[in-house]
Amino acid sequence: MTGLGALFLSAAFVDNMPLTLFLGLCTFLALSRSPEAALGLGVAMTGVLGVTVPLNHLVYTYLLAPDAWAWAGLPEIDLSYLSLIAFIGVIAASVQLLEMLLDRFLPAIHAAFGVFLPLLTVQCAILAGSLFMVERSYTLAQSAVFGLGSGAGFALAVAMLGSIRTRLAYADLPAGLRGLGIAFVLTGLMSLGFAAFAQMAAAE
Amino acid sequence: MMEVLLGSAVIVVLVVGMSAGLLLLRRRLLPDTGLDVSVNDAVHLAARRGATLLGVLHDAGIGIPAACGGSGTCGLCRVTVTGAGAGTPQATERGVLSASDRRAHVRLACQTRLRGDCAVRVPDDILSAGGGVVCTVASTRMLAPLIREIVVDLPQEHPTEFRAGDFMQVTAPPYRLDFRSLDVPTAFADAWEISGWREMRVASDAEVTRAYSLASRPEDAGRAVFNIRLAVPPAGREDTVPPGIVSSWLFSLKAGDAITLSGPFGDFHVQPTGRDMVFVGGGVGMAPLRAMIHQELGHGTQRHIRYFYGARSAADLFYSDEFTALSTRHDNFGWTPALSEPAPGDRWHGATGFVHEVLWAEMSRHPAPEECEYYLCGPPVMISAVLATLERLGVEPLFIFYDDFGA
Repeated sequence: MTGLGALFLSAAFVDNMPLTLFLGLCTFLALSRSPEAALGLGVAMTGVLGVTVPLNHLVYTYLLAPDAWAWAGLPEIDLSYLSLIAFIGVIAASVQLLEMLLDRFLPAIHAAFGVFLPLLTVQCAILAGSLFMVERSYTLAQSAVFGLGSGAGFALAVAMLGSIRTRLAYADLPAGLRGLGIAFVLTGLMSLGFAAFAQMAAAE
Repeated sequence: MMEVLLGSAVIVVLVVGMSAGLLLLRRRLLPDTGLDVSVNDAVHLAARRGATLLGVLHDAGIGIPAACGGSGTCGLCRVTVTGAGAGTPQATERGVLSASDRRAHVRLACQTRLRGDCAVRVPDDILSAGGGVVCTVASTRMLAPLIREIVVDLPQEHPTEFRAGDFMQVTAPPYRLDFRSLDVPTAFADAWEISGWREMRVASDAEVTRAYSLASRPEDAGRAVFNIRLAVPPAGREDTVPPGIVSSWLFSLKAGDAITLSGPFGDFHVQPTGRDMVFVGGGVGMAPLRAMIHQELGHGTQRHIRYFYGARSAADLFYSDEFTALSTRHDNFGWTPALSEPAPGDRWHGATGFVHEVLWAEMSRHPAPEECEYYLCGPPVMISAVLATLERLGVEPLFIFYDDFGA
């Protein structure tokens, strides 16, 4: 398997954002009540991560990295402490763009998101994607694959949880567990399942 | 120094550049174009993208009722909207509209943001009722410590036809009021002093509209009669919760003052059947029931009518003499006022207890309580207690009609 393919699978399964790293749980739990909304969230996450991680890679490499300004004769300048504010700006702009595109072309999904789409701006999984990119020194191609892979992993996990929660409509749950309670239990069980992928990766 | 300048420049250029790009894209993707809203295929209104349908209709003087002020909770602004421009129902509408409503393209006008051209169907009487009409207050009087009767002269050219049970919308202008300036009759002055209502003050800097049921009798033709209950804050929270904006303003009105009304509207009406009718009211729930009872008895109906009315003490009971007189004049009308806490000085000989308890005691002796029609109007707590009592009596929800003040 090529390096990029392995990176995609590893980002989607081994380092699954909600189930292994427990990032982005708020939208993960809130929007998994119906499979349609869950799938919409998954697509949106994949889109936003796939766009923001390579964009932030460009911003970081050419503006903020320790030797980014060496060509201008300023090798000592290191703006990497500005990466948080720059990344959040780029993410906010991308989410805004996504919201406008959905409003224009897919109004049904836009109505299903409601207030949750703007919340993606400050979603921890999305910022984490960009921060991991810096920490692990990915190249541009790797950043794009990593972003898409994390997004796909999130989409898979949230679609699975959405489908299970729909089936639970027929289950006779104790009153205290209905709703979010059982969703937390499910998330824990799914997380145990995804731990198996980490074992497979470690065994190689 | 170089680093500070360069860092600031990078962030500023990045943010400004992205904002400019988004603004340009927004103009391309979501053009701010004018839309066409056709109302009942007769009227065409121009609107802007993103405006709420309720706002567009109100600006055109089409007085769709909206008791909650457009927050999507009262469910009065139902309209049928067709066309791509209406979008899909919002999450706020799902709580108010049933699945069959949604299939029939019923929407809440206040929650419909326009995205394109659309066609709206509103009841014809709303289209003809037009916008607000300025009327004159004919008289006001206090009926109970917190309830005031306000009689309004309707202008000659305004259609005075209304069905008993209808309501009208009252628009209060911006005002400020110190409750010390209200004249309270001596009979109720003590209650006002003890409760500290005289200390209240209220200010409003915008026009506010609320719906009030009509209490007009057939002999009040050309006039609109309202029973207004002053919405006072819960005891102990006078400093944090302001008194009702429109009800306070209505309490300050005197004969000869101007008042803006629109309507009448409503879907709480007497059903054209032959069944016995049981009316249950509390507080200012009196208003629509009084209109219905007077209208039915005025038509010379042969249906049996019983009226249960709950109040706290004799001071809160109003129109009692009027209904006692009606019950002696008409054999088919029975009047049962019930006091939950009669004061020692009331010398009360009538029914005691909450109105749903009195209703249970009386109706469980009725040969067939499930064959009667029930008309309820009162505070939400009373309505839910009476609904539970009626379920115990075996009454199908089909035969129960109620107005819980849009709660």
